[in-house]
Amino acid sequence: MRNQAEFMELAVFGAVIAFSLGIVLLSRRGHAAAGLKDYFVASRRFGGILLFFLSVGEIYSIGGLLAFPGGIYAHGVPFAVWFVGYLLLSVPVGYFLNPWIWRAAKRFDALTLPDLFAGQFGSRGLELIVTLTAILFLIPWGTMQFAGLGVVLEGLGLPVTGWPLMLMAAGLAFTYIALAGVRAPAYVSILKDVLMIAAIVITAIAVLHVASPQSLAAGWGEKQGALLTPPQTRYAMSTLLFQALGLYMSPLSMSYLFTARSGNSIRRAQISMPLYMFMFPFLALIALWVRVDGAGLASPNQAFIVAVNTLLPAPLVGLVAAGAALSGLVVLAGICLAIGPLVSRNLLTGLNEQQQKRGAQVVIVAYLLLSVVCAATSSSIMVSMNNLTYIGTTQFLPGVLAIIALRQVSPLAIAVGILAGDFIGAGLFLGNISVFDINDGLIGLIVNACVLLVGARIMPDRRVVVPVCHA
Amino acid sequence: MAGSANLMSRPAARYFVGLGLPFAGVCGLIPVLEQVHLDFAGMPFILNWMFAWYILTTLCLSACWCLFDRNRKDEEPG
Repeated sequence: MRNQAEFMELAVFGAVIAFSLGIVLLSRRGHAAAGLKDYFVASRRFGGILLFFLSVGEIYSIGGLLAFPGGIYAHGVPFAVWFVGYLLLSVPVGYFLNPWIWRAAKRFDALTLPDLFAGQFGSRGLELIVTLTAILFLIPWGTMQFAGLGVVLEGLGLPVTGWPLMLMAAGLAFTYIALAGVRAPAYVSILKDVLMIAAIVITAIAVLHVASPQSLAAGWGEKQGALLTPPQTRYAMSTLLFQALGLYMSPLSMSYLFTARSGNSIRRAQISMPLYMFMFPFLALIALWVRVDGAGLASPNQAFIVAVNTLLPAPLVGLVAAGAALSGLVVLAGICLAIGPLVSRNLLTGLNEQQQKRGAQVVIVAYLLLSVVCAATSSSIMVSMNNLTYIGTTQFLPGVLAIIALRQVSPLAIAVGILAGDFIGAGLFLGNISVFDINDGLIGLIVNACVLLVGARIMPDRRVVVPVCHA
Repeated sequence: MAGSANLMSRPAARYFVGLGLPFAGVCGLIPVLEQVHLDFAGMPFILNWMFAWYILTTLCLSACWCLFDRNRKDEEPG
C-alpha cells in the first residue's frame, strides 16, 4: 500500500515536471536563435501579465512556503507582522520606483544592475564594486533555494535525496535556462503559481476540516499586555521598512524588471500584487494547526510539510511536491540569469555578444554547483542567508536613487557608500551586535546614504551627468 | 475637467495616496495595533488588519492609477 502511494506521488510529480519542460519548449517558439538581449531580458517585450508572474515569484517562493509557516510556528505574531508587512509595502515602493529604474535601463540599454551604474557614471571602478558585491550577496540566495528544495522534497518522501536530488534540480534549472533564457522562468511561473495556490488552499481546507479557526487561536499563545515587546516592535518596524525598500534592489528583481515593455506595464503589474498575497492567511492557519496539534518538528521549516504529509492523500502530496520544486527552480533559474551576465558582461570585458552568452552559461553551471555544495554543508542557516542577502543588495538603493534624481554625485562617493553599508550591515549581523534593536541593514543603509550625500557635497562630480528624471 | 487637470498636477497627492497611506496603515500603526486584544477568525486583530491591507493597498494603487497615471505617456515615469 505504501509502495502504491509512493508510486502515485512520484508519477504526479514527474508528470508536472515534464509538463513544465513542455511549457519551456513552447515558450521558445519564434525565439530559438535568441540574441543576448532576448535571452536575458526578452528584448524588453513582456507585458503586464508575464511581468506580474515573474515578479511575484518572490512572494510564493520556496523560502516563503517554508519560512512563513515555520516562522509563525517558532515565533508567532511578531514574525507574521514583519513578513506580511514587508512584502506588502514593497509593492507601492515598486509602483513608484520601478518605472524610473526601467527608464534608466532603457536609456543605457542595460541587461544588468551594474550596467545602470556604468551607463550613468562611466566609472569602471564603480561598475566592478557593484558587480562584485552583487555576486557576493547572490551566492546565499542560490544556496537557500537548494536547501529549501532539499527540505521540501525529502520531507514529502521523494525517493531521491541529498546530493543526487540537488544535482538533478541544478540540471533541470540549467535545462530551463539553456532552452529559453528568461522566458523559461516567466512561463513556468504561471504553472508554479497555480500549483502553489492549489496546494495551500487544499491544505488549509484540510486543516479547517479537522479544526475550527477559533480552536486554532490557542496556537498564538497567551496574550497579556502587548503582543510584541518594545524590542520586537522596533525590530519588526525597522526590518519591515528596510526590506520593503530593498526588495526590488536585488539583481534578480532588477533583471525581471528589465524585461518590461513599458513603465505602465510595470504599474499595472504592481497594482494587483497585494491581492495575490491572499494565501498568507491560509498558510498562517496551517502553521497554527501544526502548533496546536503539538507535532514535534525537527525544524520549524517543516511545519508546512508535516501538515501536507498528515492531511493529504498521496497524489496531492505529489502535486504539492511538484509545485514546491517548481517554485525553487523558477527562482533558481532567475538567479542564474542574473549572475551569468554579471560575470560575462560586467566583470570580464571585451567579449562579443555570443561570447557573453556562452560565458554566462559557463558561469551559471559553476554557480549552480557551488550552490549545491554550500547547501549540502549549511542547510540549517536559511534565515541567516536570507537576511544577509537583503542586507547586501539593499545597499544599492542610494546609488540607484542617485542615477534617477541626483546631480554631481561622484562615483567614488557611491562606491564608498555601498562598501560602508555592506561592512556595517553585515558586520553587525554576523557579529550579532544589536543597536537599539534596529535592523542591521537599515543602519548600514543610513550610513551608506550619509556617505553618498556628504561625498556629493565635499567632492562633487563636475562632469555634466544628467539624472534620469531630467533626461 | 479642470478639477481633474488640477489633480493630475499634484504629485504630493499621488505619493500620499499610493505610498503614504499604505506605509502609515501597515507600518506606522504597529505600536497601536499590538495593544489591541481582539480576535477574528482565530487571528489577532493586528494580523487581520495587515491582511485587510492586501485589499486596501490595491485600492490605493488603483486610485493612483485612475487619478494620476492612466493617461501618462508610457515613456514618462514618475
